[in-house]
Amino acid sequence: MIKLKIDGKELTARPDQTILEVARENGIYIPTLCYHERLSLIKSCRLCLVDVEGCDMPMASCATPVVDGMVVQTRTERVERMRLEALKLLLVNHPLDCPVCDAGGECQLQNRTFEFGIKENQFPPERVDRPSREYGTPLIRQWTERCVMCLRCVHACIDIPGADVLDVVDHGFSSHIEAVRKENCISCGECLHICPVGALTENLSPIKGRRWQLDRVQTTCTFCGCGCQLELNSLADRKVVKVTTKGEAGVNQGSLCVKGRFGYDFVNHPERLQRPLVKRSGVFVEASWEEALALVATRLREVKEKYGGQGIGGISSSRATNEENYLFQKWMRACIGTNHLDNGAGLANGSSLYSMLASTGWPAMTHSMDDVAQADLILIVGADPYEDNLIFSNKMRQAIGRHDAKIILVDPRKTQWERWADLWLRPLPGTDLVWINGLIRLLIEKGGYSKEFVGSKTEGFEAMRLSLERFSREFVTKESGISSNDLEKVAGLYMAAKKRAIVFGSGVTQHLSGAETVKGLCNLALLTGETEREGGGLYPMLTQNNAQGACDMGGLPEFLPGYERVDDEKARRRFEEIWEGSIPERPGLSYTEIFEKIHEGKIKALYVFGEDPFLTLPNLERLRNGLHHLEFLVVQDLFMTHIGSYADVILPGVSFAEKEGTFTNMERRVQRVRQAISPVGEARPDWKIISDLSTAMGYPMKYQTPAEVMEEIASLVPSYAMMTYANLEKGGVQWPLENGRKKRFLAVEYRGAAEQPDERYPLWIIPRGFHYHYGIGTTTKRAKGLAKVFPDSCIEVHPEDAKRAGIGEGDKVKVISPRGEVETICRISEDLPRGVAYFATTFFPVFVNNLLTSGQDRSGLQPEYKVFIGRVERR
Amino acid sequence: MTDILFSSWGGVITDNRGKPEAERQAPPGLNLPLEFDKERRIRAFFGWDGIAIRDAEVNIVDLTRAYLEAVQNESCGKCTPCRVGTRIMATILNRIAEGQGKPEDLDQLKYLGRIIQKSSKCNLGQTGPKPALDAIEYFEDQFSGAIQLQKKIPRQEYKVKVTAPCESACPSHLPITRYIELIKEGRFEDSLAAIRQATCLPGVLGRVCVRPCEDNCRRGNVDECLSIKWLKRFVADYELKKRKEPLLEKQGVRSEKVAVIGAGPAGLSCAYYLALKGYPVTIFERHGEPGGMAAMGIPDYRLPRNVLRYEAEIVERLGVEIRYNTQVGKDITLSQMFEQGYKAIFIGVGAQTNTPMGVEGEEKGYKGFIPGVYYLLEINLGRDPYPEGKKVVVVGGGNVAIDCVRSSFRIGKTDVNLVYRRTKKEMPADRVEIHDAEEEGVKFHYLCNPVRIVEKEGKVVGVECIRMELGEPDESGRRRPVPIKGSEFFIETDILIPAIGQAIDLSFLEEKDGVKTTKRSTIAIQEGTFMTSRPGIFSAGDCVTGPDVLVRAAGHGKRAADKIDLFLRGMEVKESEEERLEALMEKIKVYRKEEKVGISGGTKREVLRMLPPDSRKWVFDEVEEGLSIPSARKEAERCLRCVRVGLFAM
Repeated sequence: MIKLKIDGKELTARPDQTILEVARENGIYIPTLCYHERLSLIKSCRLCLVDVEGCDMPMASCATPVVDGMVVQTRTERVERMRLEALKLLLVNHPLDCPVCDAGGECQLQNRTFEFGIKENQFPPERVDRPSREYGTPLIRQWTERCVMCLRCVHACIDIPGADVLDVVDHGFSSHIEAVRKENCISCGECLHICPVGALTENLSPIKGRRWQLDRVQTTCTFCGCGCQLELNSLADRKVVKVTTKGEAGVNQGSLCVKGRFGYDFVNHPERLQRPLVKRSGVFVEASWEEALALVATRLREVKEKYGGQGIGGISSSRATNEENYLFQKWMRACIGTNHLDNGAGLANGSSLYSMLASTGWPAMTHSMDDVAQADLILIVGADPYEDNLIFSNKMRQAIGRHDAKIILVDPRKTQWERWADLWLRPLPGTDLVWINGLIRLLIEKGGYSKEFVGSKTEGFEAMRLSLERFSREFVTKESGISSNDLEKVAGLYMAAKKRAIVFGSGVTQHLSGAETVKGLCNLALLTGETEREGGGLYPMLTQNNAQGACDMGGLPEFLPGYERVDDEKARRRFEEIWEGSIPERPGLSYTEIFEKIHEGKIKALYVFGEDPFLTLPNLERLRNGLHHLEFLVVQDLFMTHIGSYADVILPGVSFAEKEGTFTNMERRVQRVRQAISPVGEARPDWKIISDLSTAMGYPMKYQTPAEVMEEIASLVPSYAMMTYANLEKGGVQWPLENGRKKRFLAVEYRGAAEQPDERYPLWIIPRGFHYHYGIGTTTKRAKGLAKVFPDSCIEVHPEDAKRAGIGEGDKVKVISPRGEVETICRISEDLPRGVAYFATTFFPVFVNNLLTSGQDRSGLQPEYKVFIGRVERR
Repeated sequence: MTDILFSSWGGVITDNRGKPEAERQAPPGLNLPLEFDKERRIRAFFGWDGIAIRDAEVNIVDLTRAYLEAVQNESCGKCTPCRVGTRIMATILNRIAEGQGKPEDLDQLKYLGRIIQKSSKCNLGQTGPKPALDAIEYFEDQFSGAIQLQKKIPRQEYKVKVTAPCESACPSHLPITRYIELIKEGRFEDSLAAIRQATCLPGVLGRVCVRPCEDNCRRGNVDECLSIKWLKRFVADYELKKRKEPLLEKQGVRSEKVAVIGAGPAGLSCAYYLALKGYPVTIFERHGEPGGMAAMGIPDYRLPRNVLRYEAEIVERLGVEIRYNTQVGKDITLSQMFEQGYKAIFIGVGAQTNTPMGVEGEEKGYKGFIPGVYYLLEINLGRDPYPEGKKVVVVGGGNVAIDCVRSSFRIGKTDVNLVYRRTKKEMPADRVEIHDAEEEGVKFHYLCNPVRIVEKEGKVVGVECIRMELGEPDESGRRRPVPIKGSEFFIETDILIPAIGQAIDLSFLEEKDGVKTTKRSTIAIQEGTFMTSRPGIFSAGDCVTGPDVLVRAAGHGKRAADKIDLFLRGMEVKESEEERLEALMEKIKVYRKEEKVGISGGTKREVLRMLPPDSRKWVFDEVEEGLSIPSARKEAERCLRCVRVGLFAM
């Protein structure tokens, strides 16, 4: 510890602290403008100058490390004059358009001017004409003349996402901030959020309310598994007009991605369903809630009477709240009497949850998102956090900044993380398990694993080791295209590290062999104990906001809430007792199996909540034909969906902005969703719709609020015992990772791809999501701001493949697979390997699902989303 | 006696105005050359440390205006006082010079100037107002006169040079402040690109440079100088580790072929910058490896081969062809080069042979007698020059001698000795190197010198030495060693390695080439042009300067490329104004060791992790691990950015 004196106060500090940090910790105020805790030092504003005894020069307190025996004065006549003059110098060219500036009322320059009591300026005004230039993104407007050159935006753009778009251009008084590398901009709005004045303003919402006219409600973002905290700014309880963030709140600490910051206007989209719709003679007509609910209850009861509860299936939503998912499955199980229910997370991430449950005992991330910043090696497999989970990507970057973490990227496509990677491997599509097994084998051979951990905390090592027999270096090279040399390099980096984080995403999970590949990654993590507290961690990237919660809540065919198996009699009995209803004892059908059984005529009624299977499942034609066997189809959603057009009844639910509840993010953090505006039209909160239906069917659900639902969950599910709203008020709470059981190595089986390119279909085609959109795009595609920066789907083709197919940049093309064809636009990209094309798509409105193979993995969960064969032709 | 009328340089006022010549005091610490170039005299100089006036006729007001404008033009815009404050000062001074000054202007200037000096972020703002404040204080009549008269002052042209202590001291004038700033900001690739504008050998210099920059670092006045060399290595390593494509942009396409002799630091640099200008370049290299003395004379544990190869490969990526194992003079002659259509030739052969010790038996060719440069060459080619020998004595005190002893362990020699005729204090080798050699267990024998090689059956078995004592200083300033009579003693050894100096082998030159050489057996060039006595043949590096530091050879190679460009374009080959200004700055001296910086310090420089001596001494693995990302950024943060402006009136 260091001893120092600030303003006469004797203080102690750590040697790595700055004067400003110590002053703030001890309640000594020093004014700042450019300083920001999350950024590297800027030192541009000179407002934080202090006098240090023995120094002729005043020191910038934000950048001066404390030294033992230091004596600091923060309020000498000299430094106060320096600060005042520095501020006055800023004011010589600052326009006095405060009345029309968006930042009015929350502007740091205004605040400091007020604080310093500046009424006049002896310095003559200076003007310079700066040409107005296009900013990095059309979603933000730059007002160069309002800029105070604090450079926070420049530093934020480099330090946080690592985009590096902005820089200071020109010299002296003419110097200004410009988006010099526009092509790098991902519209995340970090600059907007961090600008202390009105030099950057949101350029999206036509309605601009002043700070005091807007209501701000803190809630949880709905666009990916990160679970960022944001504030919905609303006007008159009706319209969301802006999204802001508070620096200290949530995992994101003020950061968001383009979706979170600019994707909000789907909420007030004109296409939102406002009243229930009932199909009469093949045409939807508006109906009252009483009428619609009564109809649904009656028809479902009829189907149940005729075919039993097993004749009914339900699809729940991994985007809806925990409470809604809980009620949905409770309704399905205890009232309707079926386990045939699943949620969208099963399709996107199911394989990771099931495999991780089998291996680590937890169907979830083994660490917190922040922990990744402590890693000294990050292995990224089939994930693009920069595009899909930006906030997590930001945390990964901290690992580089703090620990010089080595990055191994495994992806056929050159993603942003390639820029920061020490090693980049490009395996053939669908062969991740091969190199993973090869790597495990190699590490075992080299002794690169923790014998102690494996021996004392795990089981199944020998069986797993034996299952790796055929994964020699030669086999790995032959099958996956990864050379021996590269595999050696991976092993070398891996062994040199101490905390190894493994990050994987849909590029792993959404494959036929997804579940097996995740097992392989779990095995790899167990080798060196990365699953343990002191380890680096295993991080599945979840793309849906409540994928974790929907599964936690039992929105799965074989699991009750809290992952208790329905066929475990003791568990079932416990739920039956409290629910006062009986639960079918056999596990139900998965998402894809439900549609199989519809086709077979076994499922006669289907309730779809917040999902569009017509956009997510392969083989559209077959799906459509299947629907003829259904006697009753209900869809509950925000918008008219594709399956919706075949429904008998459509019930309008509400968006996250219009209801109360909780989401559980991908680090198991349960966080509140808070209502910002009244429901649009006559739409009703989804938890209310489900409760009312259940009540109407004779199984009363008399919850007054979602808080009551959560109380019931907390009483039933041990991991959610702490999750009462009162506890969550202060911030999110993570459910704990305790089970005390040994971790399991799992023997894995590798099967090759379902199909191989041939002469007619020479390309591997890999659908991928992208930064600007979320899931299947039903919400983000309706957000104007997002449409502005990324208007459409496209197929990315390697220049050589494009040449062979006679297509060029921007051409309208057909993408043809053995199943069908869709139309899109061609983009030429050298980021891909030859022979592989990427379909950047949200599945909406382009039916990419129609091109997929209909194969599923053996557990019947996972369609092959991530690769199919095909060709691209000019349209 | 001085011709300086007034000086405030270094804060010391010397005012000779109105004094007869005999009574004039010379300003202490000011070293202002008389001439800017052959035609122009320096009439006044304004700079970071004050003003100096030689000619009473110069207009102080206009000089001050020009200086503040230069500061404002250089201001990076990254702090308010400098960005806005110097602009206001420039505006006011302009107003005065335009004949529109106001009575309150001088007070405003003084007030603002002091604020800017004390509150600016870097040395540009901290020193920028200094000349103006001095001028106003000591030439106030000129300013108030201009304000009263309201008459326009004619604008003069001045020469402006932006510099920094470290940059001025660097023989290659690397943009140090800029590349460190970019590291601070986390823009490592941009930082490397900035370095490459001045040298194509960042990874090499980042490891083996003798770093005059660090001796001229103002941070050293506060606590410890910056690890500038290691920061350079850091960004070079970052590109390699993160598999980045270097950002290279050719400026054009030229058709005139250029031949470069020697792929050493000078040759590679010359070829690189010629290729960037668009010339087709062929390098003729005697060995099978690029790097010249950097490859053959510096062992791998200090400069790993892959670093040199990579930097040579980048030169090749620009289209330069390197013909290895081609000995000029034997495989091809200079005149043949011209016959083959080369329009210019650059000679960068370095200093590859040793100077004799003048010891009995030296020329007899005993087994075990191996000159230092050949010893290192053999080792660097992967061979043990004399496997039977296990005991080694190296004679000399320079870096080559140290490289020889440290390499000896690494090829399995067990008893390693160094004989030096002065003491450790006088040793010219790098301090760090000496320390590392001590750690590794080299036996140092100071104050002795070999007098006779002892042989048996044509093999070295030992060396007879004599003890020395230090006498009067010689012309190098070091005390001359004097033998002590009768103090002869014997050291048993199998190998004796003289490493007391390098010499230049110019035997490849033919009479008809018309390239004149000097008495010291170096190539003679015209001052400032790098052109030899034969038009079209240029030369730089150790073969011109005699054995010297790598960074100078590299820097001169680059400058020679500029001259070759001028020659091939049919323009006058001469020193550029920028080179002239750099030379003036070196004379004026940008760094002052006694300067009190007046800031809070107490930070230590980041140091590299080293392999432990016991394991490293037997292998050629690189001894030092580079800086990590966080420590590089932390180190860069210590930089004071001592950017300074000098302005000459002629």
